[in-house]
Amino acid sequence: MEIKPRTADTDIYAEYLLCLALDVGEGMLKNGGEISRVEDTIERICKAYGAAHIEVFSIISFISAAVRMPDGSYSSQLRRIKSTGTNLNTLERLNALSREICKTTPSLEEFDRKIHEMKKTPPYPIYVRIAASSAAVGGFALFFGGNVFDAIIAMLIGAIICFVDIYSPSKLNSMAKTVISSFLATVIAGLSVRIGINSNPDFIIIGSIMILVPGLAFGTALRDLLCGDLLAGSLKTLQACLGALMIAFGYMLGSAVLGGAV
Amino acid sequence: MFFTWDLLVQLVTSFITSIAFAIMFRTNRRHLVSIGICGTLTFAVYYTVLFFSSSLFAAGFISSMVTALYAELFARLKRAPTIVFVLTGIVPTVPGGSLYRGMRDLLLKNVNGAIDNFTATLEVGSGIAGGIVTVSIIFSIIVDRLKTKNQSISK
Repeated sequence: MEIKPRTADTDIYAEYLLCLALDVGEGMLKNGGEISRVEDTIERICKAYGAAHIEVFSIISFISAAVRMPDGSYSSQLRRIKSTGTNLNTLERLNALSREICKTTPSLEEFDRKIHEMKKTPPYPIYVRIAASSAAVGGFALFFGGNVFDAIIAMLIGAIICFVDIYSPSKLNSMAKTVISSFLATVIAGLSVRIGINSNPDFIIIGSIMILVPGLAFGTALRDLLCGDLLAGSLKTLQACLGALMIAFGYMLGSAVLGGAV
Repeated sequence: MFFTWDLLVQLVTSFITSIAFAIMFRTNRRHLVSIGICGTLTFAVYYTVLFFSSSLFAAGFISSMVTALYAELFARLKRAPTIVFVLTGIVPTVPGGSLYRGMRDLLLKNVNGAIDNFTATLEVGSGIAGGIVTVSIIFSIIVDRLKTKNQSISK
């Protein structure tokens, strides 16, 4: 494709297009999308609007992209992503939006409006999330062979872990949250044995570890590595290993407080 | 013995925990039931393979392949990204138990037990990742083939 010389006033369109494409990509990355999906989406959106060249590079906390239109206008932008969580509903909607936009290519203002409309949808209410967290921990305590009393204590721990996640100050990083949750789980499980509600804390602690464990992070990390996103994959592996280390640290701390292995 | 009461409890709880994880990951409500079935199916396959072959790697690998196939199918049926079903479906087979036992053994200075348990954790974990990647690569090749075929027909 022939590219005309660059002029200042046409750059605005390229800037706006890349900014919107990056908004979609950033939303996906923040809500647990894979690196390949993020890069692919930004590329597709820009191509759908007629970009001649588009380069995207992304790791877990950063996206950089450059676009060049056939009329010679050019833009390159960066995004730094500071917090990531998993919100599959938003991810699904962003995915659907990007498909729709690639198919229909509405005006950029319309595109902008659609992105901002989507951000307002509320997630599950807090009590549902707490119930889910306690059902997960209680369920796993039963799954690994605990009895009903184990499950009840485990459900309490699940609710507490969810509270820590929701009400901890937003500046607290996820590693510290993991240490606190793992510490509390160990101490409560150990205390319940001391009081005599149940005889073995193993199933309760395993249950609470299952929702803290970066097993899913580790799975996606290996997947990224095997698919060829080496940098993102190795960063995620490091993150997952650190997460596992933090669980162990919280567990050891809790055991030390109770005096000896729980 | 293949069938035990523990197995029944595990099948039921794997359904519940998969759905609970789906809610924690804020999945759209219309997927919850299919995610629960996906979790139960994954665990059933994991249990069966482990029972007949007693290889943790094979159990993780084959069960996550089934999860990934289920996810590819339902992603197309329900028009959602595959990650929605993959992330929540493999939950019951994630090796949290052996990770904990390894940590406890390390704390009790039982180094051999710790090595055994950490090895088991890695075995299952790499099996799960390998299964998912295998299926997603096969599917991406098939989809590419189909697309090029359609284009050549329309030309």
